[in-house]
Amino acid sequence: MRRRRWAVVAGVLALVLAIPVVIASWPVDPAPALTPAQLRDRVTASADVPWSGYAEASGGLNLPDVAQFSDVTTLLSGTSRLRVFYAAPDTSRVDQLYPTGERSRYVLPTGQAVWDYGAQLLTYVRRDPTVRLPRPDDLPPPQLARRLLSGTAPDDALTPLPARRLAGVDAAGFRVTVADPRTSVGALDVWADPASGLPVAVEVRTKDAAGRLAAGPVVVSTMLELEQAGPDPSLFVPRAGPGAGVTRSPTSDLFGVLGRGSPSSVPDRIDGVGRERPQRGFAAIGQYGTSLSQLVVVPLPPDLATSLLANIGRAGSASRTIAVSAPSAALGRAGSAQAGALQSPLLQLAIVRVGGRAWAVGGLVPDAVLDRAVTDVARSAR
Amino acid sequence: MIVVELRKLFRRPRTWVTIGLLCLLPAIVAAFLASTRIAPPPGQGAAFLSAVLQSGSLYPAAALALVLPIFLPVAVAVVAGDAVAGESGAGTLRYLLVRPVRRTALLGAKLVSVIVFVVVTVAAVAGSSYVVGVALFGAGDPVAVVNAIPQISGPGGGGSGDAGSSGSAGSSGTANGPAAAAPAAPGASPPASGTPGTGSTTTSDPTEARDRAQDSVSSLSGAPLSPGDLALRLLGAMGYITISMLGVGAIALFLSTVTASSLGATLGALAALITSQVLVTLDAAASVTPYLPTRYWLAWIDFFRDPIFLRDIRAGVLVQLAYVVVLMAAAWANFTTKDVGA
Repeated sequence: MRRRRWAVVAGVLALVLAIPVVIASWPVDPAPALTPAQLRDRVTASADVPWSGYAEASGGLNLPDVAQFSDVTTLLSGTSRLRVFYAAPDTSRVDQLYPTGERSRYVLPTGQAVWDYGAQLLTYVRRDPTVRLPRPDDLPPPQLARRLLSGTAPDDALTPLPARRLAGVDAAGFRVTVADPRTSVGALDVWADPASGLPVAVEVRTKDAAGRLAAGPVVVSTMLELEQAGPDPSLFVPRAGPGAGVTRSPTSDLFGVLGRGSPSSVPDRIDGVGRERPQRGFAAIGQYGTSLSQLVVVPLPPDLATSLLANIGRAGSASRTIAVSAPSAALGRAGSAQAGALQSPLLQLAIVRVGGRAWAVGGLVPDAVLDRAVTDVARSAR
Repeated sequence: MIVVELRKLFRRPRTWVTIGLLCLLPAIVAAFLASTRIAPPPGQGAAFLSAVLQSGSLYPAAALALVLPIFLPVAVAVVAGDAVAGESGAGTLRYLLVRPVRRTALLGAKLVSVIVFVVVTVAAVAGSSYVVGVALFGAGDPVAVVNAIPQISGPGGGGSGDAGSSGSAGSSGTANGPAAAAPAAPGASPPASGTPGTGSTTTSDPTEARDRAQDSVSSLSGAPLSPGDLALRLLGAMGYITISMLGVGAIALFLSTVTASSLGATLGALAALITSQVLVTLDAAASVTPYLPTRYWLAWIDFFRDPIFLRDIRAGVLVQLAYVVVLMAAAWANFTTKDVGA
């Protein structure tokens, strides 16, 4: 009697435990079957697929918190919970969910709006530069996959990956192995719905100086809930709650603020790569190259650079000093030149100060490329 | 049988003392908040504590956030842990089982009484804190809300204090002022960025502006919530919190059939909860966290996002049901074959 009843309990327990196991091991059969190249092309062309869903993105960069860049460092060093409503490239809403709050970014044909529950503030943003710091709405798998794939070369090696079921989608996968030695990105693993091309998971792997791929991914973005249909248009109306403030801002990006100066405030060429034509209104942002190895240089106010360098100096093992020499032609406090970098396997960010001028230099590049870029930037000071 | 158990539960002074103490904590917090007007910044600290300064009708949510992590589970563990072990320890279980009742039915009645206790407690906390909240913070006076906009958007939140409690009649003219002025100048461009605080929130349609001002509570996503909407979301959150407590109740009830000491059963359930809480915060335990009883406890806050975010709520309900099914089966197997000596 007693044994039989406990057997019933064991049966119930086994049944409950089996449910997630069975769901996880249900065979995955992506249809239609595509070659990796066909799938990649569908992914790059998927910007018009409307969808809404929930994704989680986690970064393992372990960057320390550095004052003005804390949004970026926390974004790439922790897990972001993202709820997304996406109708078109110029109509979307990404809510970053916190345990007791929320921060939403609306991208609308008329501009952008940012709702911050913590600050109780709705900010209408006129526009951000195309070259800008990473933000939460870059991280959902479709956005991340398309942005990163646009920086790969058409002849980068493609290999198929085993299919996975994610957010109810039987997703086919492929890996792009990035051949460019000037970038720290080693490979991009993308899983996408073969029917629509909508990516449902992205994993980014780094490579070391010898070109060997890292064992595990450094950035992972996974869709956990997905509906491929046009979201209700009423979701795209930014609303400020009662009692909350509303304000306007020309730009919401730090580079957008720093990049308003003269086009001649950054060098024409660094590490042998010429400067892209600057965007109107953000003439002082220097963009070098358009692939994943792209470098970005923005001028900094010298006092900000000094405080950033002090912050970086305190960051311990994640920081590095780069030796730079002030050019003899530098006026003012001649000979005072300083450079420091926040380093991670994927993203590098350096601050250079020469006399009374300073810059931030960043990119998904290895140490050697950053060092050469920093040297070139320091040399341009005169 | 169920009626007998419920009568037993609610005749005990201890039940009412427990519920009273649970209602007392939010009341104490509300008293401090109302007298000092020092709330944690929105999005930090306990959920919704900053929002209640604008409207007391949100205080039930803040109160539930206060009791959910510790006090509510302790109360549930005490009641459920005592359910069978208490009878056994007091020597009344023997007499209870002498009557022609089936042990399975008795166990079911105990579970029902635990559930009823949770429902009554959650309702009491929400109800009392609504009364306390509206009494101390007001029900979101629309005029006060409109007046508070420029003060809240500034860095110091202290100014919102007098706006929240000031009378409505005197200043109603000023609230309609900017809204009514806009249509009077047709063709005029919308308010420029000169006065960002007040200018852009008020739309040119006065009725719409008034409607919007009456929705005095904001969802986490920024969209205002009408009173009816808020009530529905509060009910949803209360229901979800009740379900969240079922796992604790089931653990304590099972342990209560194992031991004759109700204290042992209660502490056992609490130990299980603390273990779960520790593991939830541990990244290394990520493979088991989705199955832990406390993993989705905070998901009730998702009722206050717009649109409601159901993913974690759904998962939380399934996890709690799984715990109830397995643990009640174990309690049944143990209790129905147990020798009741004491």
